[in-house]
Amino acid sequence: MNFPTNPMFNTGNPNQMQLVTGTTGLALKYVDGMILVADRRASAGTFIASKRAKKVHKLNEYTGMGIAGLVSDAQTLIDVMKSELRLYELENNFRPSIRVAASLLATIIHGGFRRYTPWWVQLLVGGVDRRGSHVYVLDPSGSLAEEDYIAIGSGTLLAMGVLEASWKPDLTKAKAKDLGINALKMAIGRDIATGNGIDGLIFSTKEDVAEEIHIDL
Amino acid sequence: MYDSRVPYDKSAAIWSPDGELVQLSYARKASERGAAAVGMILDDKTILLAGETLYDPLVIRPDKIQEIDKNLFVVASGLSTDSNLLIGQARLIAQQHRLIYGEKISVRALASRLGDLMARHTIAGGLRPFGTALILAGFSSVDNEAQLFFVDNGGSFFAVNAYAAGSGNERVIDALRKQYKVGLDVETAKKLILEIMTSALGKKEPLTEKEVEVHILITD
Repeated sequence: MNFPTNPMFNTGNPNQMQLVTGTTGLALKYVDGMILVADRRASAGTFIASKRAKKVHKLNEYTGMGIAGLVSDAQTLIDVMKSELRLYELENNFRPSIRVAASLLATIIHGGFRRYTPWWVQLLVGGVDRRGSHVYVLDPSGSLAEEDYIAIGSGTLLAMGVLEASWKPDLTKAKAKDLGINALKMAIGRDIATGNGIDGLIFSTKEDVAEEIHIDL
Repeated sequence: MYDSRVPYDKSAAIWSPDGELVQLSYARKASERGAAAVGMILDDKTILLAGETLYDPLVIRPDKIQEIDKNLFVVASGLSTDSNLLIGQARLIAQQHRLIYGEKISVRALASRLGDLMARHTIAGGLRPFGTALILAGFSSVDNEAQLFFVDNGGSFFAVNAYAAGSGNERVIDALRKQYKVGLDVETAKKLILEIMTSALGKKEPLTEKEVEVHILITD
């Protein structure tokens, strides 16, 4: 499916729906947690609109979200999700799982897609809950997939190449962190819309507080 | 001239001078005329639900205990048409929750949503309160622990270990208060419930599972 009048979609191939993004974000699971990292560059064509864009966000203590695409849409979804998860926790008297967060987002995004007002975003949702660690990926059509490792944004293919070659289910936290950062550095090195440093979050079933990653490049 | 004041027991939306919603008290009376219903947590993995079904050889026994979602049941007591309406809404709410959040609804959230619906009928004009009280049973989606909720005609709800609705509810609750303990095995609990219901409802013959539908919920 393509969107011929929509400048955000690559219409080169009519059989392919491709959201044009300038970002690389990735998420991967490790033996007792998950890691979410992204670069800091916000681009408008060939212009670097920001060198310190925040693309990895905490929705609550144990759920993170990585964003790519239209910044305003993504920021709105982050605000909505923070409120929705808090409401869910108060109404149910327990903490919503990562699946609940990802599923709600997919519902919202698919609603927009079917009403001809799509959310121009690719999203990563991940974190830890009572069932362990989880990584979900969403696209503008509202599809939802659970993955072990996945990348979003313009540097997807570069980062995925590195993850595909080196990801294993039994990675330690240190090894997974290195792998995530190296995969992102590959995108920073070869993708023009990715760069200016790295931000990230590490959610672990062994720790109550998420570990933050900040690397200036 | 005619007197345009509405007597305070004519609408659920009008307070009596004593601060009572008189229509709500009438609604509770209606649900107390319905067949008896009991719920009891046996242990954190098992719940017993029991509902009296009036035995009539001409009528095929209707289901007193109804499934809302997988391993989530309700036993309602009162006006059966009101119960059916609420059960239909409960099923809809449960499926909407699955669609939006990708997970089964919790018993508390369902009790709260049904409570909201029932409370609205005591506030808005032109409506009457539900002539039904509900006992909801299921298992926590966090740790699979047994959960039992009572929802009153007016929509107030609370978690319980054991509770009763319908005819003889006060006597059944009194008996449960004295005799309920955690960790009863299924057969002992069935016997206890039938005994309590027999005496609370003033039956001459002891009630059996022919007159009382009994359902045991076990966590998966």
